Parts: sequence; C-alpha cells; structure tokens
Amino acid sequence: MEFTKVPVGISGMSARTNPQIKAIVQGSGDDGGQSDEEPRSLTITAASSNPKMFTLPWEQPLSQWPQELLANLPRGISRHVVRFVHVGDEVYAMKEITRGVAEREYELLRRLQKLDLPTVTPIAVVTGRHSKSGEPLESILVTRHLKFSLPYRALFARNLRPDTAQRLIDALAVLMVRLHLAGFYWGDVSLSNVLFLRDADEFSAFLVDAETGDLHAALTDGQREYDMDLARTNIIGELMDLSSGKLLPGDVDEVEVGNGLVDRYHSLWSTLTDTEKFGPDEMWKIERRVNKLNELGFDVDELEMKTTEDGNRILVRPRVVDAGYASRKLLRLTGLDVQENQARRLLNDLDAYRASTWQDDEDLEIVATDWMRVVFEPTVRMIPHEYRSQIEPAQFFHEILEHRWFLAEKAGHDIPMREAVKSYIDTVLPKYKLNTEDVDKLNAEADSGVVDDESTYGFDGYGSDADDADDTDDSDDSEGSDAIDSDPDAAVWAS
Amino acid sequence: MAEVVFEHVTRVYPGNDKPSVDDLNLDIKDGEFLVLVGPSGCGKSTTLRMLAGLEEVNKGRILIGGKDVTTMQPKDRDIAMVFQNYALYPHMTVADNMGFALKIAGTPKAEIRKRVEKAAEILDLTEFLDRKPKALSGGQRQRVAMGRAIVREPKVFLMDEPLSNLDAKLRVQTRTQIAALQRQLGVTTLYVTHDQTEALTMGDRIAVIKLGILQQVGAPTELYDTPANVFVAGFIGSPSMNLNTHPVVDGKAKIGSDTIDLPADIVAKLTPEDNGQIVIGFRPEDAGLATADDANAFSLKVANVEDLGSDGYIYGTIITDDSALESSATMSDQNKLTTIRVNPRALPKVGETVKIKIDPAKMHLFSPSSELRLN
Repeated sequence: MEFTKVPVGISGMSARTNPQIKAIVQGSGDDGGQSDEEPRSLTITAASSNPKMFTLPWEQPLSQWPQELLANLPRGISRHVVRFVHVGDEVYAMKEITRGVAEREYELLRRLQKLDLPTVTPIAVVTGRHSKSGEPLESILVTRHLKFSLPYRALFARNLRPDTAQRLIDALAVLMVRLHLAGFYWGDVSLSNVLFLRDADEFSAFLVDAETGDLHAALTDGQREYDMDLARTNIIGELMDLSSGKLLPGDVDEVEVGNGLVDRYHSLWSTLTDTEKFGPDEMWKIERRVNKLNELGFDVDELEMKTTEDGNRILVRPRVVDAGYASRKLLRLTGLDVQENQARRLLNDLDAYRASTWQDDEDLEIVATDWMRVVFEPTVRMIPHEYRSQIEPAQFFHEILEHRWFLAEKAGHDIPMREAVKSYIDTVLPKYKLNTEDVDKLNAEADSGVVDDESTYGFDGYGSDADDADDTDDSDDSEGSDAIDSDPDAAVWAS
Repeated sequence: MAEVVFEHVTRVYPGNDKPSVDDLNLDIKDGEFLVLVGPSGCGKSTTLRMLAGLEEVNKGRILIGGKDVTTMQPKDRDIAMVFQNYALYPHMTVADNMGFALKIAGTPKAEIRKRVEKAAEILDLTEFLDRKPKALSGGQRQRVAMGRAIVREPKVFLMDEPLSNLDAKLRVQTRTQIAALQRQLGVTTLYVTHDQTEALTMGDRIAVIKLGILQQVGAPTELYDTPANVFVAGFIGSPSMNLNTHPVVDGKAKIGSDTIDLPADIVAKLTPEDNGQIVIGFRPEDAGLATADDANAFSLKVANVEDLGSDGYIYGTIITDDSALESSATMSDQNKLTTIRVNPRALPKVGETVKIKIDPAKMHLFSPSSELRLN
C-alpha cells in the first residue's frame, strides 16, 4: 500500500484529500477508542494536531529515517528502536513497538498526565504503517522530548560530581513515591526508563517508559515492594554496567547505592503515609508534621484525624499529598514553571532580595515582580545562545548563585552578579556541552540491546562479527524477511 | 517439587461488586506448562498477579510446593516473572548480563558461573558468553534476556503476555523457543495470554477463564475435541467452531428447512428451560459437501469462498424457507457466517446453494439455557 506524502497544512489532514490517512484528534476528556483490528491505512491518533506529523516518512522503518530529520540527542538503553525527530519547532521521541503496546502505553501516559505526574507527554500513536511494497510495519508511539533532560548514561559520560549516582537515586525515590501514591505500578523501574532534569543541586526524575505499567485505585504492599525490588536489581545492574565501562567513580559501591534507593523510598513513604499518635495537648505536632512534609516538597491537601477509642490520643495521617509545594508557590508569584529545588532556591533569593531592598512590609507578589525584572531576567538573558538548548534558565540562575558564593568565599568579599555570570560562563558552562562524538557513542551503546528484526536481522549475518553490529540500525534491510526465514537462531529450538 | 495450587481463590477489587476472580480452584503440576487463556478483562492477569504476590487474595489460599504463600511478599516466593523488558547492558559481557542478579543476591562466584554456563548451553549462547551484546543478533539478545530469568532457577516462571511487545515475525519464533525452553528446564510455568493459538501451541494444559470464572481445564486436544460449554467451544480453535441454536422437532434438529438426526439420549437431556431448542456446534473441518438427496444435510447459500491452496473454505448462510437464516440466531464469529472446510478443487461458486453434512461423531451439542455440553 503506497503512502503519499501530504502537503503541509491543516487541509492535508482531511481524509478526503488522501483516503489512506486518517487522523483522530482526541479531545482532552476523551480516552480514545481502540479497535481490535489493525488499521489498513495510516492512522494517527493524537491528543493535539501538528500537521507536520503527516509529512514524516512513516512508510520507512524508523531505523532508516533520513538523518536530516533526526535530532542528535542521547538516548537511553531500549529494546526497541527509538529516535528523536524534528517535527516543526518541536522534537518528538518516536518508539517503534507493536500496536497493542503502543496504544496501551499512549492511553496510560495520558492518564498519568491528567494526574499531574512527572512523565513525558504523549503526542500520538501511529498505526496502520506499511512499507512502499505493502509490508506492514510496527506502530510508533510519539512523545514530546523533555527539553533539557538527559538519560543517566549521558550524565555519567561527562566528568561530574562523585555523588551523581546518589543524587539520581534520590530523585528516583521521590518519583517512585509519587507514582505509587497515585496508584501507578510500574513493573519495570530502572534508570534507563527515566529521564533526569537538573533541579538546583539535585535532579528531578521523569517517567519515560510505561510499557509494563498499570494504574490502580491504590497499590498493594506486594506491588510496591515488587516494584522496588525490581528497581533495586535493575539499578545495581545499570551501575555495574557503568562500572564495567569505567564510567563510574571507583569508590561507588553499586549494591549500596541500590539498597540506598529502597531505604530512601521507605523512609519517604512512611513520612508521607504513616499514622502518628499523640495527646490532645500536643496539637503542635500536627504543624510539625505538615512542615516536615513541606520541606520534602509535598503539600498536604487533606489530613485524617481520629481519636482513639478511649479518647486520650489523636491519630493523624496525611490523606492526600501533592508534590511541588515550592514550585507551585513560585509559579503563583512569578509565572515561572520550574523544578521543586530550583523553585526553593529562587524563593530563597526572592526573600533575600526583599530583605536587602527593605521591602519587608511590601506584598510578596509585588516584590516578586520587581525581583523578576531587576534580578532574574537580566541574569538569564546572559545565557550564551549556543547553551540555550542545554541549560534551563532557572538552573542557570541557581548555578550562578552557587558560583557567586564560591567566588565571594575565595575573594573574601561580595562579587557583583555580572562578574559572577561572566566567570561562570567562561569556566563552568563549557562542561555542560555534550559533543557529537559523545552522543554518537552513547547512542551506539544504547542500540546494542535493541531486539528488532528490521534493524537487527536486516544485515547479513547474525552478529558473529562484532564490527558489523555497529551498523545494525543503518543497514539496508531489503533482505530482512528472507533473513528471518533462514534464521539460524530458529534451528536451535527445532531439535 | 513445585506444584502450584489455587484453593477457592477470590479477588474482589475495592469498589467492585463482582469478583474479578471467583472461587478459583486450579492445580499446576510440578514442571507443567499451564496456559491461562481468556478474553481481555476475564481475570487471567489478576490470577497471575495473585500468584506473584502483586494482588491481595480476598478469600482462599495459594500454595507453591506445598507451602502457603497467600500473604508472602513477592520476593520471598521464589518465582520469576519472565520478560520484564529486560535491558541488555552494553559494557557487560553476555555472562555478566545473565548472572549479575545472582551476584547481587550474594551467590558464590563458582555457582554463578555454573548456572550461567548451563543456561547458555540451553540457549545456545556458550560461544558468546565473554562477548558484549553489541556482537549479538536480535534473537540472541532476546535469549540473553531469557537467560537472566533462567539462572535464578526459580520454583515457578510467570509469563504475562510475554510476546505482546514483539513484532509478528519474532513472536512466532519466540513462541516456539519459550515452549521448547520450558520443556528442557522443567520449571512449573503459568503463562497468561488472550491468544488461543498461543495457548493451543504452547501449553501442556490450558485453563480457559471468562468473567473471573474458570470454564474448563484440559490438554489442548481435550478442549478442542470436547469443549465443556458454548464459550470454550467458540473460543478455542481458529477458524472458530460454527455454533447455532436450532429448534428440536420430533427428536431432530431443524436446520433451515432441513432436519438432522440427534441422539435420543441427548434430546432426553433437554429441559423445559431449553424451550425446545438445542445448540449445535461443528468445526469447519468436521463437515463437508453432500449430494442433493443426502439425508441429514442442510442447505447453505455460499456468500464467499477462499482457496488457500491446501484448503478451501466456504462461508455461507443457512437457508430457511428459501431465505437466509436471521443472523441473530447464529453464535459463531467470522461475520456470523457458517464456515466449512472443503477440498479446494471442489469449491462451489458464490451465490450457489450447496448441501452440507456434519460428521455426526464430531458434532458438539449444548443446552441453550445452561450452555453446557450435552454429549
């Protein structure tokens, strides 16, 4: 079945213009329909319409898409073929998987988004793909690339702080607690299935792969424990792999880091969900509990308070907790939408600014407007152009504050902002840059676990020559179907 | 010995009135490959997750190797969920990829090597043990992932639609591999799928489940040859069984304007609730073309024919009073048409009316009210 490219423009979306293309644009309240039948023509089910989606070469296996369409960004390890693709002004992550799995994951990601959980944004499912010769191709799940994010392997590819592994684990523990509180069982927790965003001195973790997940009303202890057990095993494995590749600082104990994740998760979980018991004259303990949750970045929407049967003790348990305490506060004051720790840092600077400008009596909203105009915006405008896609403004601001403090300590006196920014751009920022060579190396590594007959069986031979395998994804697979028919692997099982 | 036993197991999800799994009694014998099959939402995955310890059991108990595990944590049950999208680590050798989980568990080095070598032999990966995943083909990579589960040597393997994320070509190949592998290893296995072809080709025994209730357990041929009820009859087999409800007149089934003999002892089993009707089922291969004067044959108007070279298929509607039977009275799929397998050299033309005779020994008779098998 031949697929003709449709000219860019909304009119191109009409099924009448090209009967082989169907577009289903879903409203936000619609969970989308699924049918059991494989669509015969290309069908794009999308949450929003981006006409440029129709100009992509869906009739080609993803591993063979032309280089000029691809964004050279580091990918994580995956069993599937994954590519970052420029679509208009955006970059989308495309994953080639079977239709059922693609549709299921798309719906699940949409539901997680509605719950305001940190996940990638689903864009579309593309089904009914066929090659020019009419051979069916796997479906593609499209998600929006999370700007400024990096897979963990890219973070280790550069010389970073020795505690990087620990900070990633901390971020993952927070993510796990948030997902579990919302009733999401992951079934395949690993660093590879997460993207990390810098968040002041910490990281924030985002779920990118929900293939094995399930959303429940509430999770059983068994589900949570199994998720964490699997997370521990996978993470230790991933760190052992980095260690084999000499990418992990020598003094990191992989098993200890993995165990650390489970401990951190449990302590966070119990802080958020445990019932506390105290006397009627100790009501201040409720406030202490709420403050502690705020410090951890959680808002308490609902507290459950009960008295014991004898009426002598009060039982308190947070019922609904919401992450993003500081980031919501900052958003309300400034309109800046940033990560939790960045927000905390910016709020602290805002407080400092209020005190230093003698505006303590002024409304915080008004001071915030001033601070944005006088402090924040002039600083982030100084981010050199070539770094604008690499560092988030809020992160840049945080790092400038750190750097200024470091310079001041060395000099023994305050350092003007402008001077700190210049020094930071000259000495620190270049370390952020991931060069093309590094990205290519990371992506070749990431592809070495892909289980896909188009890209793997496409080349002649079955991996006996290690050098050939490098070209796995770029190989011409015109012989693909013949190769599998005569697959020597199959013979292994015949006996 | 690791026999798995479900004893009166019930799972009701919070907020639901009806159980997702209702009073399930099921034994999986030591070393057996049991496939749990049913349409989506039938409770098959819930059953597997209860065995894994991921779902609570509201009533009843679950035993693994004679030990009650009903309230035990998943990691203490000595089970392995296979195919969790296992990632392959690029810097680690094939041997390390397979054995690292044992290293974490503190298994001695020599023991790890022994188990990895044994698994590699079964998976035909011995010569690749010291190489990196990059040097492997897709199929070999897939097998390394299987190796990661095998080396744990668990009491039970659990597989929940493990082929769903493979493309069509790899799916058929891996299906054969898993079945062969399980037989070599002899580890008790519970395999969940919605695909009856997977069930028929892989399982030692198949358990069919619908709306949380176990319908029938048996060897593939048993389910195929003697389905216990209308649901199993229609679910197992592809193309599926022809199932129609017909009036019973003078001890004979009336199919359109024709009649077919029914065994007297079966007719005697019909109850007033059956309303003078019977469900007749027959597989497409258990009927054939008959001559115009053949007794016990019925008329079929040919709506479509298919010539597959080795087989031919007729799809048609049953003629009643010279018009096609109301489709609402039919219970099989294939667009509600009756399917007959014939010699492809003797295919009738579309629009023709042909006489069809069912092999009486291969006829499946069910009560319309209880939907249970009568013969």
